[in-house]
Amino acid sequence: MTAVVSWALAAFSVFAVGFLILSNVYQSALLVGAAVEIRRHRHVVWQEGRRRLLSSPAAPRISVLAPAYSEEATIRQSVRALLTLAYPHLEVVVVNDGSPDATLTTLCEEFALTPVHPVYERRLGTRPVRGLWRSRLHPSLVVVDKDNGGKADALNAALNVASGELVCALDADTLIEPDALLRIVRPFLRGNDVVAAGGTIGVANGSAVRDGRLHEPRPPRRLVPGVQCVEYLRAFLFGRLGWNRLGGNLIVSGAFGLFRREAVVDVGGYVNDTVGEDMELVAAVRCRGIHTGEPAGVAFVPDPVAWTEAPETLRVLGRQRDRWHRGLADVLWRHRRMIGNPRYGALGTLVTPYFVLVELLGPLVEALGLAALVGALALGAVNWPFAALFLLVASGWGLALSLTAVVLEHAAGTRYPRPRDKALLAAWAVVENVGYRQLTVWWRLRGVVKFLRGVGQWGAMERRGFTESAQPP
Amino acid sequence: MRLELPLETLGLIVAGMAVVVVMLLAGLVGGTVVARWRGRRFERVHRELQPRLRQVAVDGSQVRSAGRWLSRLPWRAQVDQLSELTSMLSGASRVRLQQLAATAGLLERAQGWVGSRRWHRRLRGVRVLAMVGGGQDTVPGLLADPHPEVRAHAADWVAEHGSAEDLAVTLVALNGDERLRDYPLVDSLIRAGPRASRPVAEFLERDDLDDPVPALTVAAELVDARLAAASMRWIAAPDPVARAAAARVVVARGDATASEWLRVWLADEDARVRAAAVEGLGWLRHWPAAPELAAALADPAFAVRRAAGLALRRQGGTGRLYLRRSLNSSDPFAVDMARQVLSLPDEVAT
Repeated sequence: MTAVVSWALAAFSVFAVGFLILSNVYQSALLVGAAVEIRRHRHVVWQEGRRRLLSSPAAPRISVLAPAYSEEATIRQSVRALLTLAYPHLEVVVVNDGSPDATLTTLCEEFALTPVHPVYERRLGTRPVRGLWRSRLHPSLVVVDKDNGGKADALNAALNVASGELVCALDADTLIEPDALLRIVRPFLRGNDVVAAGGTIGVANGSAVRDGRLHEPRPPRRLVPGVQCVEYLRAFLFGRLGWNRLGGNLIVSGAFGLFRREAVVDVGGYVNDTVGEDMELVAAVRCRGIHTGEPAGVAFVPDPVAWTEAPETLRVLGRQRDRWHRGLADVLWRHRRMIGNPRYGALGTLVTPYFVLVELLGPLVEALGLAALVGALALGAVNWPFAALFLLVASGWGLALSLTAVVLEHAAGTRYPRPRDKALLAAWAVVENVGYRQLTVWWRLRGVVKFLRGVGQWGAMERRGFTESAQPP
Repeated sequence: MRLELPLETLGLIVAGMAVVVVMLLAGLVGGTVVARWRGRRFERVHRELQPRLRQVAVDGSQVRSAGRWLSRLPWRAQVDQLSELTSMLSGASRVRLQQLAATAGLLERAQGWVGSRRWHRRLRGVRVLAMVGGGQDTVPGLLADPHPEVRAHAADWVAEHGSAEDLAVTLVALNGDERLRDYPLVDSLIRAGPRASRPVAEFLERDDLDDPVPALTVAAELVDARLAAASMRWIAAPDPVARAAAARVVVARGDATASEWLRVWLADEDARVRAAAVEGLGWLRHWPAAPELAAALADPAFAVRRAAGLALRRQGGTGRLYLRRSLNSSDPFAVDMARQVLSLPDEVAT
């Protein structure tokens, strides 16, 4: 019996080292890709004169789609901030997704809304629309009032009404940089093969917010959002940016992304029965493009374009990560025919295998590793120097990646210019490896288990909200 | 099975990682410190330069003195300063910018960059030349550059400083197979304004034109009789997108023949062309076409029905009258669209 367990432990150690090498090779490739992209990006944005776009009659029309549920307290400022985004041809479509509070009344009063008969084509099925409202003050504002159906349903209702060639999907609590659209539209103006583009999302906790805009970005000083701040930098600046070079992204954040409207409508819009509707949409659009020979490019713009409020407590964060992982598993399952399939080019042979092996199954391997360690301890079979050095390699690599992300943020045009901000980010990069990463393994593992059990709930997200009077530390 | 990985190897990997982490931290600190040091180092130059640049902007004096101070800055900072000045100067006074850049040695440098083998240097060069002018011999050649960003900024240069011949070369790029052919080129040609009219008209008259749509888009924005005449040959194009684009040029022309052509297009077999024609009649506020527009409220295509409803709203009293009559139509789609459009507030409908 002991011999069998020892053999199993030895076999697992070979597997674990192999897995570590595989994931590190992937991540090294992404790192190189990201560094090349940042260098290219710096050349491209230097003196590019994007403000010229403001006076361009040829600029494509963009419809900003903003679903709102119980946003009575913040909707006024959020919509005002959207209406004042710098872009020449802009339409703002706000969807009141059956809010039980006074979201619609607030909108009606603030923007002088008047009910109109809905002049639009119902190309996507949604929960019943109760009414359509137009503003007498802002002709570019449209408000859709509908029965509650969730974020995906609200976005589909907005897609039906939107008139823009491009649509920008938002989360209700996303704070947008004033020139975000001028930045994120860049890939669409430079190539006709792009169907979606995403940008860097920053963590807004700890920064001062005024009038629905983020002023003076600062890294969070509290542990949980602080660590997430570095995690976001790593995910966006090295993960997604690296994929620009290696076969294109499979994810555009639901918090802020720009899409060709026709491409989204052609795949049936957002899917309601998944918790990963943003990733599902990108996968569907890319998959369809490859099948039909139509454009299927997904670009990532490293410019910081939007800010979101990260969970402040481990309980809420755990729910969020669990949901994200369930979404990942669900989308990969739905599009399983792409995995390893050369017909889909780099998407099939490089991108989807990475998401399956490293992102989806990574937590499983890490958990098995911990179990193997416990087993080896019980059998007295631990080679301590080897185990210690192995752990140092694993966590040292994580630290190096996080610090590289902070350096890339600096290179991409930093939003945290103060030395003390850099020091804080570096500190969070170190702290992240002690306990936090292990917790994320647990949450993601929980997500896999829930997916296998067929749990499809979102789980409540508790947010502290942006404090208008908040002063930066 | 046993994993034989020497401890020395693992130790070396850990040591290597430690070095990488230390280098990254050093890079982070060093980058921040160097950025601050640079800012302080050129503080005095900036102090001396600012009043001289203001004088250059106000009356064109002190160009030489400002140029000398400008040359003491690193080239990136020089370009930043000129870029700020560009937003203050227009027309003939932009010539001062070129003198300033020449005095500082930036013009010569930019012309050197344009000939570089590296795309980012060519891009840098063409951006500086688009800002200050110059490069008449070299920049037009960059319209065929292999890098899309360089081509796009070469088109920008043509819009600002290019001759009619350069504009014609830009138009040739619209007829290529390159993916980057629409937005940057179309935008540059529109910005070039009346200077682009003749080359665009000649381009539209070519027999070997694969895709006239981008040029027709430019023609619709430039509003020129020559362009309208040249666009007329596309009214019977086999491609409906081209016919719809030609309809927009006709609308931009806006004379009596325009409305006649648009009425003909109301019977086109393609919904995009019918929608463009209906929209055009709305913009022209051509009230005699109200009966045809009312009939278009029952069109099988939603886009045409919607455009017809909005076109009738734009026509004022006559249009509203036809919309109200359509409320009693036997066609339920026409009734629905008329009701919806009548409920729109004026600010949105017109």
